[in-house]
Amino acid sequence: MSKRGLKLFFVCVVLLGSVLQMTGCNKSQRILEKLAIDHTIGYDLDDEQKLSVTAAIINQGEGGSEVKQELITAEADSSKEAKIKLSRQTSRNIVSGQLRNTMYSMDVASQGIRKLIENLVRDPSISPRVKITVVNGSVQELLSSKFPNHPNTSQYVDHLLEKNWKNQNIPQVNIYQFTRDYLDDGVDPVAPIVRKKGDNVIVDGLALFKDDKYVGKLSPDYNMLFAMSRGKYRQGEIYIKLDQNDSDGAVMLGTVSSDKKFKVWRKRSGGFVVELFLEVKGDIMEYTGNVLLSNHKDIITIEHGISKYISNKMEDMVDIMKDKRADNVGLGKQVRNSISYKEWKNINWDELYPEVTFRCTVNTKIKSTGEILEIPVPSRE
Amino acid sequence: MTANHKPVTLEYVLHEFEQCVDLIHRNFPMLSADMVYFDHLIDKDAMEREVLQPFANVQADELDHLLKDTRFKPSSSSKEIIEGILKGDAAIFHESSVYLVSLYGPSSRPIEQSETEAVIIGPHDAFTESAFTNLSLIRRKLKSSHLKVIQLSVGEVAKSDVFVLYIDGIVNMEFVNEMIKRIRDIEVDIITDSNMLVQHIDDYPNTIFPLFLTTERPDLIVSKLSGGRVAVIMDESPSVISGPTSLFEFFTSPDDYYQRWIIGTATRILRYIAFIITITFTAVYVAITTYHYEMIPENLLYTLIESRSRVPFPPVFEALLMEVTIELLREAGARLPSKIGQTIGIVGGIVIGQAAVQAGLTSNILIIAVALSAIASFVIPSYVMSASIRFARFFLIILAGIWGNFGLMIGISILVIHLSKLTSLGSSYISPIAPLNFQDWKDSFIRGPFWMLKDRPAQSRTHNKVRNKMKR
Repeated sequence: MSKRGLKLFFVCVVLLGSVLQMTGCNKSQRILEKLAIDHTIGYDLDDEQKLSVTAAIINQGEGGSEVKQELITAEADSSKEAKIKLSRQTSRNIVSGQLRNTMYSMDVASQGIRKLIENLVRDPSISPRVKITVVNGSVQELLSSKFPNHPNTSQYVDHLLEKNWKNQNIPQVNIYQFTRDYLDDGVDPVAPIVRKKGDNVIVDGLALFKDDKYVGKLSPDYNMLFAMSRGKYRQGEIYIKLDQNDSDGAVMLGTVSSDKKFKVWRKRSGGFVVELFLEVKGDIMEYTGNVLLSNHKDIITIEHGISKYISNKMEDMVDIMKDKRADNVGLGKQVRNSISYKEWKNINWDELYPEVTFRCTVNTKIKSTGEILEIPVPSRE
Repeated sequence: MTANHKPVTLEYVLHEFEQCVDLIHRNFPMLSADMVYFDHLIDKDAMEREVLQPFANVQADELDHLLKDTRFKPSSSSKEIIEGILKGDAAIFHESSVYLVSLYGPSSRPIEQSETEAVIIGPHDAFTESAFTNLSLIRRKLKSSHLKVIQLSVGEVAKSDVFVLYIDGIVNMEFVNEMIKRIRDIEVDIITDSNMLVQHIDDYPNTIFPLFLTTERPDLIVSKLSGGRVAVIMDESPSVISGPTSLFEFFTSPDDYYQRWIIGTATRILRYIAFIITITFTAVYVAITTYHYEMIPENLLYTLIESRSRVPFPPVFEALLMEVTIELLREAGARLPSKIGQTIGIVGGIVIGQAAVQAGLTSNILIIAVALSAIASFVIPSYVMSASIRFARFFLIILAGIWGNFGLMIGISILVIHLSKLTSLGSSYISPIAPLNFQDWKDSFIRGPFWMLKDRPAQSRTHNKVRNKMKR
């Protein structure tokens, strides 16, 4: 074929191809309004211990009505089977490229969520930034509840979680971080717990996982401390009740920033001591005690009070985790970093973990006490 | 050759101009002289001053003496005489000899502002249809004996005058010779405008991009000449050609140099952003709504689905429909007088802005995309380039409709490959990028401060590189 003829042939092929493609003879097209877009997937266990999958999809009613959330549920053995069953219930193609959140009921979580997450990771259209959330109660019930101030429940929960991790109330837990902690040696994953409370949804603490199984709950009081133990903490707020004799009262510290440092020692008897050094800095935003804040010495007392409070609470938190045998702070990681790989391979961390001594040393620094040092008490006559 | 030896007679000339009623033949019986000219090509005042007055004041025997004056050019070639008459000379027949006197001065448009390349600050004069006016505009701004002007003629029938301009000592003569050669090689009956001439001399006839800059602004041509470019003026055309040209010259405007360099740079960057918007914005909309729902931010998702929901077409047809409508409006507006043009604007605004959405033919987000890319296309100073880019957009929209983002990337790659192939007068069309010359980026992607713009553009391949010797 001559060069010109070849060129003409290619042009014809391209033209024919384009005509076929454009006229809709193309199955890969995913035209926006013809899709049922998954926003949240929830997993429950029903009475017969069968998986029940609930999908909150962004969908549009027929004939151009308002875009809203639609809930469909299917019972299945696996999440992919559920997808096939779900698609029988909708007039549009279910796609998961806009998935934001996956929710697991506590029952599902305590059975282990490895298989479910594996399937999420396998699908390339699902982002690694999809959140993982544990629900206290039934997921389906939570998603199907109507919250008067928030018409779109799945979006509401998603935004709630997003705001809370931006404020560092809860750690950011998405597929990437969960699988990383799950696969990493010496650290176990966590996930935020949400619960329906009246007309709202609230963050109900952290779910502690041992490997991929839910083993226990950390109350929301520990949120801040957990964040401090995991990484750098910036621009947070912390509320502390002091119960020292001379400086009773509650302190609210604002613009709190913390820096952490772990140190590991070997015990003579074998086993390890892990010590966490925390450097906490903050401004006093609120103080209800009766110590004069203008007095430098008293500020040091308050600082000591805060330090003691934080270190006690931190040790309590690790004790709770030890009880559940879940190493969510990552003490194992610290130990692993302090010894050789060969030695790490030889020890059985799961057995060793409850025997590890954890200590927390806190150094608090109050940067400022606010504009007004003290409002004088009016003298009564 | 025979015509040169045969004495040219009045009868011969009159015979040549048979059936030309606009030819004037005046007889001076007292002086036994005849004069032949085209009344509308000559300046009446000059005729009075140069010919009629002196003729009235001489006796028959003194005429020979008068005709020895240098303004009367003796000629014996019939071809020369006929060409002279056609160019606005008057031919004077006296006894057996013929004289040509140049009285050229037809009525022409005065120097006005450019409609297509208006600037806010800086000189407002624009080229007119008269080549001599245009030459004068350039000479006034460039008072140098190094500015050389070569006269050529194109068109087998029309014989239009073409002037090639360059600054001796700055220009690379290769370009001048190449330009002259290409203009001499043209063998067509008629060329009516320099934008038409450009298409006869450019390197690649089958490209959508203009390979030579054409402008109506004398200040731009003067700066191009001093940058070592060759300029071509064509008589009866208000656009002047400059070459060799790079793609990025079409995104610069003389305005950039009349403002502070920071503002000039910002404006220039704005034009490149406009270029990207024009070429890709609608195509990205098509790609995303057809294939890549994952890319849409959550908050936009709801509005986008809602606005798309009543549209009966796939996004690519929806986009093409609106793009064609905008092009229709633009074309209609360009041809109409300004009073009716307003009506078109209102009808277009209402039809496109409101009715099409309400009727459910398009989504309102697409309207924004289409309108934005249309507006952005008019930010580009050169009308010819802006039309080329608007055309390339259709190609990208269709590719985006077929293969989504992948198609868009294919389209952009093809465009880049095509652009890198192009040459202007044999030099690279995407000059400061390939061949890479970072020095020139200061005067193409940004408008650097004057103390940084030390060298003439590398594309000119000039031997006289430095144009700014100042330290700041």
